[in-house]
Amino acid sequence: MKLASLILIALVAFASPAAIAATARGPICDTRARVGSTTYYSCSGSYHGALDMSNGTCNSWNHRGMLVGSRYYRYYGGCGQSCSATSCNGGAGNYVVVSGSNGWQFRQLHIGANGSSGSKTCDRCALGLVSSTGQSYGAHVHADNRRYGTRMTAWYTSVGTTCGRSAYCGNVVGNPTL
Amino acid sequence: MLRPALLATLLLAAAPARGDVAADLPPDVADLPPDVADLDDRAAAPALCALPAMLDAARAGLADGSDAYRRYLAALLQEAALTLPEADLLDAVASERDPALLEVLGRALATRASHAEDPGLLQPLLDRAALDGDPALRAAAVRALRATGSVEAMAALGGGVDYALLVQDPVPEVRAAVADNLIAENRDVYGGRDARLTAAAVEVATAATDGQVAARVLAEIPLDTATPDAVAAVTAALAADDPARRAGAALALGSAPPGDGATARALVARYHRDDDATVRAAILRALARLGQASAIPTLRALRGVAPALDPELDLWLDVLGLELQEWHLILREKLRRAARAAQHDTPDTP
Repeated sequence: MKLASLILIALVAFASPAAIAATARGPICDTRARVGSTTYYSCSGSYHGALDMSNGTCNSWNHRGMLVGSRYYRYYGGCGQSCSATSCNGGAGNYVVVSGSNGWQFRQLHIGANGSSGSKTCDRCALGLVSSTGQSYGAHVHADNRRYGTRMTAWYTSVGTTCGRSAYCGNVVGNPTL
Repeated sequence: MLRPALLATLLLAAAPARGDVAADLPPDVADLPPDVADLDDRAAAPALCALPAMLDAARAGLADGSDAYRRYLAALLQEAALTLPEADLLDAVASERDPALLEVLGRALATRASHAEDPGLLQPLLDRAALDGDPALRAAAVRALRATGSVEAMAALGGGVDYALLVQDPVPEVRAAVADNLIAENRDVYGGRDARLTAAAVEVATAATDGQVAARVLAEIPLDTATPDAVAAVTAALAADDPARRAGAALALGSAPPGDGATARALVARYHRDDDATVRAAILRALARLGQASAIPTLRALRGVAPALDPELDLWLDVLGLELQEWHLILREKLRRAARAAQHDTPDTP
């Protein structure tokens, strides 16, 4: 029994990968970019559980990958250009998903498709334009960190991100789990 | 302690500057009217800074700074690399002779390449990894590629240098760095699931003459997304001479697509034939992972084949009987019980 136990303990190194903490920066390289909604819509409405970030423009600024370090951004497209709300992709519009271990995901929604849009591996590269595809009232970047589909909030509350905080690409807005 | 003047130099280099913007724009944004295109990313334009001064500071800090300071210097150079003059960075990577600094510089170049989506920038680093005469520098160049999307970048460059080539390096440090890179890239870049990474891992394990490296790669990179050919290659490794390689192959097959049951049958056949306890333990775990609760009859049928492993087999049967729904929960419970059993087996007196 002891021999077998020791063998299996030696195999602990091959356990399922543990979730890791990532660093997310703002998605817009404009110092005017700000967080508009966090845990509640417009910071006072119904539950949102995500960050909405905008610089008040539509289809003119890059929507960048927010995670520091190379990540695989899987792209879900098919929505045409829009600066007003549509139901495309269930309201998500064009979006990307970064998958982590054990059901963790990081998503960025409402991308305006352009030549940069598509599934790819990169470090804070352009994913498209800051736009309003999907159920989006005013062009913005929606970012959420989910586990098995449930939106978590600690990834941005833990670093003090709240309404009005800078969403500039040099500013850390959260530490999502992946 | 960092000198104020040096700190100012480093911070200046790392700070986004204003100026030329077109190079950072995707083609269709660059094609927008000037009043629109000029708005985009103006703050992320190249900085005017001197790389040699940064390298002098980094060289000194990497040599005698604390771990935290070394990490800080590496992170600072990585961020500065996004805006440093490209030619200076390429020259520095091509000529650096200090392994610690080459690793940091190479990581900075890889960050630049990933940010700019230009794998061609990695060529000097790949050349160092494959061709440098100093094994410490080759290993440093390989480590610099860790978790940077390097498998995709190597494929995009045409496969002149890839991990299947690098894993045949005569020096163990380089080979170990290859395994570390693949494992880290699979976990950090792809969240543990990517068909291209899996294919590269199987190719590396097949090409590796180092059984320990092959075993690590096989054991730690799941085959969920593997093609039938890749699964067949790993199944063939169950017959390898090296027990470590056989155990690694068995663990890997536990994460293979269940398919028509051929993988489970190959594992059962190997369990009957193998005489190595580690390999047999790995096979039990693979069968448990493949079938979870439905593997109970298969595991029961193996009782008595290797009596020394029967207590281990019974532990798996007990845990699978709980019908936990996810592999990581099953494994955690199994390891908890194994640790408790080992504790109870330890005699109180010599």
